Amino acid sequence: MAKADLVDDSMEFMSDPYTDKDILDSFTPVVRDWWFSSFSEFSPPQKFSILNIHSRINTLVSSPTGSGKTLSAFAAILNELVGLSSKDLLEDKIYCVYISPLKALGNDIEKNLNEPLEQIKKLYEERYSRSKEDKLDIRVGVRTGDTKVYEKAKMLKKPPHILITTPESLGIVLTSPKLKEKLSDVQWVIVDEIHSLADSKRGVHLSLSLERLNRITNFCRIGLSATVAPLEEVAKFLVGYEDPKNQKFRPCKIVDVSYIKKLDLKVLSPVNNLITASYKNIYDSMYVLMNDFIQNHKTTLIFTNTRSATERIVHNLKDKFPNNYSKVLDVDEESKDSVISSDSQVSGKWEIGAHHGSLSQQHRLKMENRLKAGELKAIVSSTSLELGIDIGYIDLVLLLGSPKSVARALQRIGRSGHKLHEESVGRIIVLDRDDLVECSVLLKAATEKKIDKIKVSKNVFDVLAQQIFGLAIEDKINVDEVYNTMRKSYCYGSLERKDFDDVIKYLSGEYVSLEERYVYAKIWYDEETREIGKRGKMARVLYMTNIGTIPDETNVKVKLGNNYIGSISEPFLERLKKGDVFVLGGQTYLFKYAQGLTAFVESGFNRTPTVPSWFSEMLPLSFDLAMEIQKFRHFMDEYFIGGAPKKEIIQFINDYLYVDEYGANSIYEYFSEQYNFLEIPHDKKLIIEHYDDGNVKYIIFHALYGRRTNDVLCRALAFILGKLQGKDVELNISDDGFYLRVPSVRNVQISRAMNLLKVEHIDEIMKHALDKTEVLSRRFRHCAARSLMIIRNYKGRSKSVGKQQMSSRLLISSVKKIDNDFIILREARREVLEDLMDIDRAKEIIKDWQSEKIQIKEFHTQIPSPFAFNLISMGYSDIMKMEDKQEFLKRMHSMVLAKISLKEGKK
Amino acid sequence: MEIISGINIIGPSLFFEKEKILVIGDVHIGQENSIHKMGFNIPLNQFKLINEFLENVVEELKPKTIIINGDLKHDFGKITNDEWDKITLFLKNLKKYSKVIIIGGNHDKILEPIIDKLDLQMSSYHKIVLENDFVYITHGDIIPHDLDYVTSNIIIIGHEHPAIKLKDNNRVEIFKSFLKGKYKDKTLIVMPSLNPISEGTDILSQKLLSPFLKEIKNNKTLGYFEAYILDDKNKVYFFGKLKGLGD
Repeated sequence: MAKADLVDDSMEFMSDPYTDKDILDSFTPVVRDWWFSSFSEFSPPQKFSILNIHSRINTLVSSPTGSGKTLSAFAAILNELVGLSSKDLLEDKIYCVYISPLKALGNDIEKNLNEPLEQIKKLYEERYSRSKEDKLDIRVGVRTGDTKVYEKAKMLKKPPHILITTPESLGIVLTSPKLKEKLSDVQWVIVDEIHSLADSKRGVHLSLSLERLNRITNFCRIGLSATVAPLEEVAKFLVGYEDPKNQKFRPCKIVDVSYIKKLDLKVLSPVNNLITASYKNIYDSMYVLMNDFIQNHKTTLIFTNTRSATERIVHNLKDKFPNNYSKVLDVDEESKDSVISSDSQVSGKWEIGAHHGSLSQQHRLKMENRLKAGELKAIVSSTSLELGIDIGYIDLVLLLGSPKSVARALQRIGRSGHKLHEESVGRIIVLDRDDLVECSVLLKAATEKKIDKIKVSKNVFDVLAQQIFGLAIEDKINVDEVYNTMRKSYCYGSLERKDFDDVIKYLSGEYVSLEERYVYAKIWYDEETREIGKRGKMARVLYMTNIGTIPDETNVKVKLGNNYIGSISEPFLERLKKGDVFVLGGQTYLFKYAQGLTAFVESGFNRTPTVPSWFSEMLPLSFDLAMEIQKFRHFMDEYFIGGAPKKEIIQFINDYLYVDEYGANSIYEYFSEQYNFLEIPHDKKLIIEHYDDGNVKYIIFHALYGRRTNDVLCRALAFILGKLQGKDVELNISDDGFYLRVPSVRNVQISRAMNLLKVEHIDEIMKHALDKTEVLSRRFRHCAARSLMIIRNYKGRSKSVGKQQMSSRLLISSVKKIDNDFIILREARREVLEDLMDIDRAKEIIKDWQSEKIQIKEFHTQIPSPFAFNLISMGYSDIMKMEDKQEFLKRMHSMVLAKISLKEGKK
Repeated sequence: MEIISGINIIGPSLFFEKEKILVIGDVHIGQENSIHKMGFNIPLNQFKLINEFLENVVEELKPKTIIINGDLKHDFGKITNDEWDKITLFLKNLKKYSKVIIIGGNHDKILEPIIDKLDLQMSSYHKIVLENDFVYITHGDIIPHDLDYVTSNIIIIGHEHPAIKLKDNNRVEIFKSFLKGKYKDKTLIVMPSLNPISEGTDILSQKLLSPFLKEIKNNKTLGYFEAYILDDKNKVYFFGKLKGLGD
């Protein structure tokens, strides 16, 4: 481990830009002419990067949108291709691969590249051409999942010099023998929006594809990133290891010009007092506020945190201001009349619309084009417009509710003021007091550029399995070579040989009997020659049609009669029983029955929900931001304990957080209530609040660490408590804390549970705690799909998840029967604990609890304290199943019997 | 546990105590294979589990007759090699111990070539005359009209794969279940599937398949049906009327 701590000089932050003269000197005359005709100067990232790329130096560029990032990567490459073409030395092969996480982004780049290319060509013909035939012929080609077959065929005959593709399509290209040939001399690979890939399985997949490409040829790696931290991590992810055994990275230069864009940020509350205003009042005022903003700006981009909220906002804006807005209909909606409400005949002056991942690509493209053409007054999006698709001029970004991380806030707000020297204008609208505090601290951190750290996933087995399968399809290959190739990726530098061997065992079907192997094995492995290779004629087709890492999620349609209300997730449906009342889009509905993937409901007027909402798609609060909030709480606590007067505290809030007077006042009141009622929890003080409502006991942990960390802490404690009591424990997790819930009659041994919560046992505890959870079986299904244990496309037939009606629970239990430590099952656990949750942070917290670095205080309350209020009323609920299924049935049985005998008795 | 005088619940099957008749249904041999073809490359061991269950039951109860009440085979369209082998093996095994009667189900459209080879026949129902009762066993995908049906007073069907979701606070679990209630003037018994892969349809919240149950639901009398719930180890629990479980 010591090695990792050594100062590594392979990652170098550049401090001095190259001179304009040096850069221009590297250009061929026609490119120089074109540059002068198009630009007045080099933008900051260009000053650093163009010459690097010219000299084949790996470079990571972090700069804001509108700073000429794309050309900072492409200028040197275009220049070189122009040079070769003019000398007639340009060959029919791929020189540069550009990888974008979004298909739409790829289309943009093609346009943005073809335009300068045309200009250069024209200039060349006017000024430098020696004859009529002497023309520049530089081709740009796009290959994504949408590329037509004939276009692909054309590409084989005449390959593009610059290939624009997605991570998935790159994986396919590497396995196509003919196209792979054209890649044998690739000089540059550009990874755009690399920040959005670095912390995801898509990124892990890409990192291995790059190593597969690296087996064929050495190339210069270029990463383009928005503002993220730490950039060294992203750079390591981009370049990988030269020598993984000695943890030596390939060298990389880092260009950080992310500081140059000016920000104008504010947190706003729709009402003066968030405490006294009613829920309805807050929401009504929010729409009035939004309408004011939209009306006073040219084009407004509104971000929400969930897809369903996106639709709701569009709908309500149109509803509340029918003279102002009409909605751009989805392609699906245009054909179906069931969803169109009667008011759609009234059309408002301006068009608004939604843009999110659940909408068809066709619709999204339509919205993007309307935006670019300036035809939309406002657009509401969840995460889909965060990335750098060109959406034209936006002069205001509104965030509804906390974006949960500084990086995300900057990314979203950065979508406004597209030009480099323009200010980005962002307004965050908060709806409750926790949100107010959170967003105010976030604003401070954003202004001070304290960016939350991303984490690159390591040793991901399902992606590894998919990529090894891909390699085996290319050709027979020695397993040691496979191991060494994969380890060059930053994500696999520490891959244990045993784990690697387990993946090979899985792929070669060693987990089933010899007779069954012909069904389950994907590759053959010859122990004597130590080679692996593909098995079966269908292997290549299977690989190509099932590649990728993005899981299929099924959405269940919710219908009221014939009207479509919205959608819920499949696991949520599984939890619903006839008569359950749940919340969807701000309304309550009563569940009647399900038919396949449609749930039929009736209106649940004024009923209390019986099932807590499912917040699986909700963004988690970043740990770093959580700690910033805790720090603020700590300061506040000290002011209150020190007996500071109100005026002084408000002054402090004002100075510390840059909020307005109303905001400062609300925050003061909130903390003052908590202080007077109980105590203020903070980074050095954990408060455990016992609240008993007569029926159930809540053990509330004021643990503001973000949902990812709290998930581990809460489940580990629930598991221990459940074990101690032999009964199920209900739990509820949010970003600001969590609680365990048991019937009032029971004694709660929370101190004992806390004592048993030891860092050295946490891995084992969590393995058991996850065992029967929905989240594990769902994630297992995803992992099984990535590792091709579940095949979405089989023999040319595509299976939607809906058609694959096979209970995830049954799949996971079948695999457990093979081996409880089956490699893909281990991956599902790793994904849950490390990617979805944050077990490492949880361990640190537990250490601090144990060493009393964090003081723990317990209180009993009659009503929940102010800080506990939001936690009690919302959050993500689950249950720690301690009782086994048999016991559960027995208990239900005796309950029913008691009911029956009671009735009999009455007769 | 006795579901009706003289007829016991044995796991997902029914046993006529005096007559020594075992009734099983909805075995869906080949489903594993068809699931595999749908892209699930995970060994499910279904066939092994079915055989294990039957071997134990046959050993213990020594039935003289085994009635297979429909959907022995899974694939509608064709006979896969896997199905051919497994069904042959399955029936041969049962034939060793007792007489085998096969009632056709909606999945059994092309079962005949296999059973012909084994000298077995398939019919649309089977009747059993008891001391006081006339039992009519049929798969349940259609409501029959023949004379035997009209004169019978107890109907046993499968087809539906009934199951029941039980819920306590946040915890929800689904269990296979037998159902017993009134259909017109007859007593109707609905059997769960013998197949361990099939969890079943939650009778209370999912759309029903069998015309018998659909009609009963339309008449709003489903609530009067009684549930006999099975746990994973095939133990039976009487849960009383469905309407007591709905809320």
